[in-house]
Amino acid sequence: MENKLQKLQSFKEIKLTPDEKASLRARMAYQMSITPVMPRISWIQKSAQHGLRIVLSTSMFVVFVCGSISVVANSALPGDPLYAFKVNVNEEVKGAFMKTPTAKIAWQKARIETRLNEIQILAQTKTLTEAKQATVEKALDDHVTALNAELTTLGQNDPNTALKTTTDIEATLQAKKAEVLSTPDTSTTPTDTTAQTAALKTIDGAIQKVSDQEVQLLNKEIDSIKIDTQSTPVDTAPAATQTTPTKPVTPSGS
Amino acid sequence: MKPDQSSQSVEDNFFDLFETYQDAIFRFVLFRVKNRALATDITQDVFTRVWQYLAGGQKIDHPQAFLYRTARNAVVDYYKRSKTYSLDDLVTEGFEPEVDTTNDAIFKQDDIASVQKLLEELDEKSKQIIFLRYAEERSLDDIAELFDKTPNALAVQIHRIIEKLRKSYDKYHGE
Repeated sequence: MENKLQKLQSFKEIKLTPDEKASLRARMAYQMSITPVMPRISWIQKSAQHGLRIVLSTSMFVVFVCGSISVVANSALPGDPLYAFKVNVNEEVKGAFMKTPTAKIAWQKARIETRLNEIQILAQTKTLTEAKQATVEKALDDHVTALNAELTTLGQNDPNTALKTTTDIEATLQAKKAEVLSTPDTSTTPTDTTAQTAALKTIDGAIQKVSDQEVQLLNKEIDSIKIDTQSTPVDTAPAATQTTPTKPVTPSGS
Repeated sequence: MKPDQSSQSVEDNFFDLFETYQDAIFRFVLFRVKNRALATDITQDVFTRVWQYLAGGQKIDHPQAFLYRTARNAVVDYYKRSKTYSLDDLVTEGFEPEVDTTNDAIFKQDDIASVQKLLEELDEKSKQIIFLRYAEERSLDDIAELFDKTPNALAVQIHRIIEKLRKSYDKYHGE
């Protein structure tokens, strides 16, 4: 059988004719002209491109996930799993973009209002527990402390604005308290009444802290007025001599 | 536009392959399709695929094995495509459905024709192995590389194919 198969060697005589070769070469030349050579990329470039692709796609994924979490977290209430993300990430990131003391104060004021709104919603929906209340109080403490720090800074340059801002915040808090108080109490159980009371307690705590700050600012203002008063004779002495007599007119001299 | 150095070397590399293997690939294809015009078209398709591969920045380590593998795939693709064509379409394209489909006299030689008839009973892979081993006189190593086998395994397979052919031959011609 192998002898018979050896006869297949005569197949080697089969070749493309010169015309067929010329035609094939021409067709290949055309094919090469429409499919040009792509630049060869080294393995380092390939690795870099591959790495960059991975980094970009991962970054996009992370941004997408974080963005989604951030959007969902915005409507979270105390006790929700994403509430910590809302307070510690979303709001902190927004706050990081506030550059001027005025903007920072406005931002802290908005945060305080948000906390009060949250506690009001919890009270209205009868879902305010001690743990949730503690969470809001802790957050409020932090906001008021940050606000006080900014007010102190502002107070050094512009005490009047600082004082006015404190008064505004206190008025806002009082309004919120009135709002909570005016909410019709449809409670049927003692626990429900406790929720409203707890909300009021938290608001009162915040009002107290802002009031303390207001008192501090007032004291500083008074102190500065005292210092001004004490230093006035020395500073204004030459001018006073020209306009008004420094010595009180005595009965004998008149 | 003047091609750059790497582009030029890719073209040179391709033309080397083209000049060296065009007849071998043409025979390999002709052995399967038994139609000269069709074999020329498929040979062009094979080299087009090779060019696209090289132009795409890929490197060919074993050109011979790569070309035969591409030719195998091109023939398989041709048969797959032709299944969807009507007989009239195939005839229009140059395909001759008669037994005497070849236009090379060599296919008509008695001894070759009898071997061809025997080979038709083999599966596609076995036909290709026999063609490469006996018509093209390729080494066991080259063929083994093309079929992803060890030379020993290939030798055993060739032995089995020959045994099968012998039995068929005996069956047709009486013991």
